[in-house]
Parts: sequence; structure tokens; C-alpha cells
Amino acid sequence: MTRAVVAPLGVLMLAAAMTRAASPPVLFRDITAEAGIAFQHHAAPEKKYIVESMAGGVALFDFDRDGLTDIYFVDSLTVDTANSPMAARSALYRNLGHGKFEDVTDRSGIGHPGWGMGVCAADVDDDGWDDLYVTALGRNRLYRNNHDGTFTDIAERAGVAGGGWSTGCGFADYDRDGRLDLFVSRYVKIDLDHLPQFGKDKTCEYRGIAVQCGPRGLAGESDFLFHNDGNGRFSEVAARAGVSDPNGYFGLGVAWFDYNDDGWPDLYVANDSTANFLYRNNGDGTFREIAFPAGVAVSEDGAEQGSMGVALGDYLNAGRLSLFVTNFSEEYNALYRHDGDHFTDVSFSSKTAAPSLPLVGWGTAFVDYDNDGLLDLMAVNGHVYPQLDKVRLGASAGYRQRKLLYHNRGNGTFDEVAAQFGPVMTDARVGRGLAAGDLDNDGGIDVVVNNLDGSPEVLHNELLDRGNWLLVKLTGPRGNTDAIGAVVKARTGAVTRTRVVQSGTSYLSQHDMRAHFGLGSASQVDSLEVRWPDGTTSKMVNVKANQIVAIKR
Amino acid sequence: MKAPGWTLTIAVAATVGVQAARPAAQGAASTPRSVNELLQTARRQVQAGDAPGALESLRDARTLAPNSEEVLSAIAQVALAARLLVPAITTLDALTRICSTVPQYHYLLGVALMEAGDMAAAVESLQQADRLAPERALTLTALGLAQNSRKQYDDARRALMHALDLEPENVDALAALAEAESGVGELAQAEEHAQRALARFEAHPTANLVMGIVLMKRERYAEARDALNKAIAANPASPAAHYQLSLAYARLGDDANARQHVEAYQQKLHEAEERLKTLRAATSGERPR
Repeated sequence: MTRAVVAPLGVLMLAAAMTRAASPPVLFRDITAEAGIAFQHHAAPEKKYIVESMAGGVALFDFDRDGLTDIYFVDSLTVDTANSPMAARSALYRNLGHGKFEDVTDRSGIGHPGWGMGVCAADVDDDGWDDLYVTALGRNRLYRNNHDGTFTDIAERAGVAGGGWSTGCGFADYDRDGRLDLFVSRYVKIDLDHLPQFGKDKTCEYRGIAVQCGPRGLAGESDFLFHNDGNGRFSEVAARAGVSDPNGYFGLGVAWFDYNDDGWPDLYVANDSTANFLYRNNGDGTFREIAFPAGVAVSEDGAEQGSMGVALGDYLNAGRLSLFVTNFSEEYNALYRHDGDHFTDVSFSSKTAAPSLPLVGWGTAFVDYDNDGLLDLMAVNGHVYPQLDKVRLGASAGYRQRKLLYHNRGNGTFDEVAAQFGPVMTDARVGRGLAAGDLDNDGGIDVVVNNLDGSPEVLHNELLDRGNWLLVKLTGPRGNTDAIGAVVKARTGAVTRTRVVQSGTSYLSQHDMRAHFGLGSASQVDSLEVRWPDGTTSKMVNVKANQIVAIKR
Repeated sequence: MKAPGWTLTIAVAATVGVQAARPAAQGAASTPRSVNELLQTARRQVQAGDAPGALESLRDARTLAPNSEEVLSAIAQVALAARLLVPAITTLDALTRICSTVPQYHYLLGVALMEAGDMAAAVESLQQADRLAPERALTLTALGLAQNSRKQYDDARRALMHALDLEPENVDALAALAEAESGVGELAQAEEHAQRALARFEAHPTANLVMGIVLMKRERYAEARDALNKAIAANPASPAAHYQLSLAYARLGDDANARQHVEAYQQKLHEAEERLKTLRAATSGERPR
């Protein structure tokens, strides 16, 4: 009898050992619950209206200046709770270190920004403490950091409350007057009292079933550019600057970057179902839209794609920032390689396109997850129609979708490796915002995802064989203390890696603004050079690896 | 030749279809308003080049015999030959349901859907045609073309290589294979196959478009411009060709022509969207976002 029991136990133990042996290597571990993060994103289960499908962003920023990156999740209302702003609770989590976070939302006063959408960070009032801008359906919020764990909404007073349906945002000093300005993309004109009826006609059907209407068939919104006047006030100058989008394309992801390296910040806007914009800064307070001649407006075959999120990265270590744009299913995520004076769509030849075809892509980032010195790529996915799970899917995945993780092979191509790293990457979620940063200052890039309909994911990087690294924290001069727009170049031997300090990007989200460099086996950075937004430069030599370097202008 | 590659297949199929409709049209008709009489009238009208009149006669016949395969088939053939895509697709949609095992109807529906721009539905129809009647180069070529449009390049390549096994000289399959190879970034193979297609038919729209794209990627912009101009001459309705040509002009510093072709691209894209909208309003098929 005893033997009969022992034998199966032995088999079980052997099976367990074999399972362990076959278990995937750990890259990210989901520490959400153990870290004390209980945030839940709220969205109407049926998503009968497009406003219920498009939130929500996430921000990584150090609001209390303790050197540990904190997290802010944006929550959203629903049509049913639109008149009850307390029904949605965005959340601020203070990083306590050692993998623990504390919910400090109630004290902070930034828990109820209304029908929240996206978020970006910057030190708007020039006091050295990061403030937060939250986009929304309705009035946007500019939460000024009071240095004591509380914030005050100054959006109305500052003139940046906007209105309509704002989505993406990003700060940059576009006119180089030493003050941070703000671009806000907007999506669709929505009147909550006269919403387009679910499934009302053939523009509100997908694969023969009734779904939410839009964005096609609905009127789009123009965009905002708020110029910082320097007295705590901003002026809306989008039309004068040439970035207002008078035709009302469906604006979402935003990325400021100096694509032509002339020292003036340019602007990329990902538009859903319409051509994307690349606004070249003319250096005189105006911009020229050049996405078509630059080759970043549409897909290679001229299709207008449903673009959501944007990532910027020098994945070739060529000194130029390429663009990665996440798109709707049965389209493809577009990788536009920066070739100097133009971009080339290398999505298929880089092997990034094909795995993305069944998926609806949102938050995204270039991250060097293994610190091998080459920027990898990550994107989170999820459909907009929950009804999709009730019908045949054709070439599209279901409502909940897996993540994409592309490992950079170093030759201009990527391997999609999410499946190698187990359920944390392959479990199906309804991903939206994604922000990357180093939550525990261990040199490994962590990722935080805001998922629709439930829990976020705080993914701690626990890869064993990571390379050396360097984290660079810049402090800019008055007017731009985060040094947003600064370009950091780290040279090791013959390889120079380039990063840019960004406000906004991904999908309605804010990455950790510190510049992260994977260095592979290099034990030091031979030369670390910063080009500040005002054009001046700083340089350090022989910087040891595996440390956080602070550089002040 | 002013049409995209796949319209060749429509023309061939439509001809076959009209031939097939003849026996029904030749049947005895005892009353002026009988189905057979109307079919005969339609046939005479087709021969006289009066496609709208023929369709009118056939619609009258359909009123008398709503589920007649002969009548529906004749409507589909005439509508396809006249490039009246909405009646062709709605009729073929009905035919594929009534006669679900006839591969020809699935094939024709697939080709008509491609022509209308509904590539997702086209792929499904053509896959069904291939399942019902495997080893047909015509079906495999059309399937490969539709899969190319869906960016399903690996699937397309399989279908097209199979088509070329069956018909090594099939210029449409060769050009489409080049397109699939270009899609996945295999430029050398794409160039080789496009060149082979152009050697057989120098005005082939797909082959010229592929050459244009390959040359763009090789940064040979002047040659790309010339190839893309040929592609547009062969198929002025191609948004992709206009878009790529706008890029070629932009790289060559010719801003005026670049702008002109962006505008042409936007116009062609708008026209294609309107066609699709019309089609979707008239049918109950799938409607991608």
C-alpha cells in the first residue's frame, strides 16, 4: 500500500522537476500584487462607445525626488458613470524601494481627473519637481507638484485645460525660448448626450457583428499646441504654428524629437485610421507637415493605418532615432528606419511586422532589456471590440491579446521572442499604456502596463545574464530642469549609443526620463556626451559602468 | 494593358462564364416573358455590347426565377464583364450560398472582391475555391495576390510558387511572387522575378511596382521613378504606385511632382474607399474596421 502511494509521488516529483527544467527563462516577473499595487482600470464591459476603449496611460516619474521612480495609472469613466467623476480612481503609487509601493493617491489629490486618458510629465513651473499633465475627455488637468506629496490642478489658470477629447501629450521647448511648451493630440468629437448608436449602421459593424462606432464615420478633433508664455500661463498657438490638424485626423500617440538634427524639436503624431504627421520645426515658431515626403505617413503600400503608439529609438546605434508605430490588427506595426534625410519602412525586412498582423498594438518602447547594447522593442496589444470573442476571428486575434517582444539581432532585424519568456508575456490582456524605466535602480529596464478592464502589470526585469549598464539622470537649466529633448550619447569603443529625454510617447504614457544604456561586456563608457536642448554640450570620459550618473547643466 | 494583373483573370473567367450560360439561353421559350426568353435577350444584348440592357433583362429573369443558378450565374458573368462590381458580388454571394460546392463561383466572388478592394473577404473566398478545386493556377494566383494585399506574404509565396509549378509561364503569378518577396525584404529574389515578369510583359503593373519598390530600397531613385511611372501607366488607380512615386520624387528633390503624386495617391485612396463603402452598403459580408 505504501509503495503504491510512494510510486505515484515519485512520478509526480519527477514530473515537477521536469516541469521546472522546461520552464521558460525569467525575463520579467509580474510583481504587481506583491508590490502592493491594487489599481484597477475601469471600463464598460461591452465597450459600446469608442470613448470606453481608448484609455489609459501610465507614467513613471519621481514625484518626491527620492531617487526612486513612482507610478501613476490613469483610470477612466464610462458612459454610465460619466456624471460621477468619483467612479473612476486614477492612482499614484510611491516607490518605497525593495519592490514595494504605497498608494498615496488620496493624499496627492490626483485621483480623480475625470474621464482620464493619457499622461505626460515635466517640471512645468520650473521648481525642480515634476508636475503631471493628464489628458481627458473634457477638461485636462495640469497637476502642479507641491513638494509635499500633494498636487494642485492649475490647468484652468495656466490655460491648458483644453476640452473635447484629448489623448496624447508631450512637453518640449519647441521655440527654444527656455520654457517647456505642450502639445496635446485629440481624437474624435464626442457628445455624451448624442453618442453614435452601437451597431447602428454598417460603419458600426465588424465582421458582420454590431460594434462601437468610429473612429471612421465620426468627426475628428483638431490638436492643441500650448506655448509657455513664462508667467505661469500658456497660449494655444496650434493654428499659428501649423500643427492644429484642421482636418481633424484622429490623433493619439505623440513624440517630440529632433529628427533632422538641426537643434529644433520636431513632432510626430500617430493618427488612428488616417495618415500620421511629422511636423518639421521651421525654427521660427512654425512647423511644416512633411510626413509623406519623409516616408512616415502611411504604410509602404500607401494604406492609412490605425496608428496608436509611438516609440523612438536608435536601434542601429547609428546616431539617429528611428520610429516604431503600433497599429490596428491586420495592418502591421511600422518600423520606419531613420536614413538621414528621410525614413524607410523596414517593417517586414526587419521581421517586426509579421507577428503584429493579428494584433491591435498600443503602448510601446525601445528598451534594451538584456543590456546587450542593442535596443530591443516591446509592444502591448488588445482589441477594441469585446464582441470579437463571439465571432470567427479570421486573421485577427481575440479581444485579449499577448504582448510582443522583439530582440534586436544587431543586423537590422529582430526576433520576436515573447513566447520564450512564458505567460507573463503571452497571457492575453487588453493592453493600452506602457511605460519603461528602472524601478529599482538595478540597471535592468522594468515595464509597467496599464490594461483595460482590470489589473495593471508591473513587470520587474529579472533576467540573469544581463550586460553592464549606465543610467544617466540629467538636470537641465531653469525652464527645463528635466532636460527634455536633450540627446545623450554614450561611446564604448567604436559603438556610440544615442538616447533622447522624452516627455510623452508610447501610447498616452510617460517613460522614466533617465537615459538607460545597456553596455554589453563594456566595463566603462569611454565618452558620455550630452547635447542640451539649448545646443550646448557636456562631456564626461571614462565613466564606469553599472552606476547612475547625474549630470547637471 | 491598363488594368491590374488580376483583372486578366476576371476577363478570362467572365468569358468562360458567359459561355457556360449559353445552354440555358438556348432553351425553348414559349412566352415572351419566360426565363429562357429573357436569357436569350440578355445574350443578344451582351453580344451587342449593351451590358446594362442585359443586366436589366436578367434582373427580370431573376424576378421570375429568384433562385435559378442559370439566371444568377448569367447576372454575375455579365456584371463582372461590365465591371459592375456590386451586382456581381451580391449575385455571386448568393450563388456561393445556393451552390456552395461549385468552386467557380467562389473563385469569381474572390476575384470580384479583390477588384472591389475587400481583400479579407477575397482571401476567404479564394481559399474556399482552392479547397473545392485544388491545383488550379488561376485560383492560386488570385489567392496569392489577395494574400499579398493582406501582407500575408509567406502564405502568398506558397500559393504563388504552387501556381508557378502548375503554370511556369504565368506572368501574373511571377509578378505576384516578386511582390511577396519584396514584401518580406528579399530584394534580390523579388528583383529577379519581377525582371522575369517584365521580360514577358514589359507593362505589367505589379512587376513594375515591385521593381519600383525594390529600386527605392536600393536607393536608385531615378530608376525607381521610371519603373513606378510605368506601373502607373499600366494601372493609374493604384494608390501604392502613386505613393511610392511621390517618395521617389521626394528623394530626387522634385517637391512639385512629389506633392502631385501625394495628391493623386490620396484621390485614388479615396476612390478605393468609396468603392469599398458602396460594396459594404450593398452586401452583408465582413467589414474590417
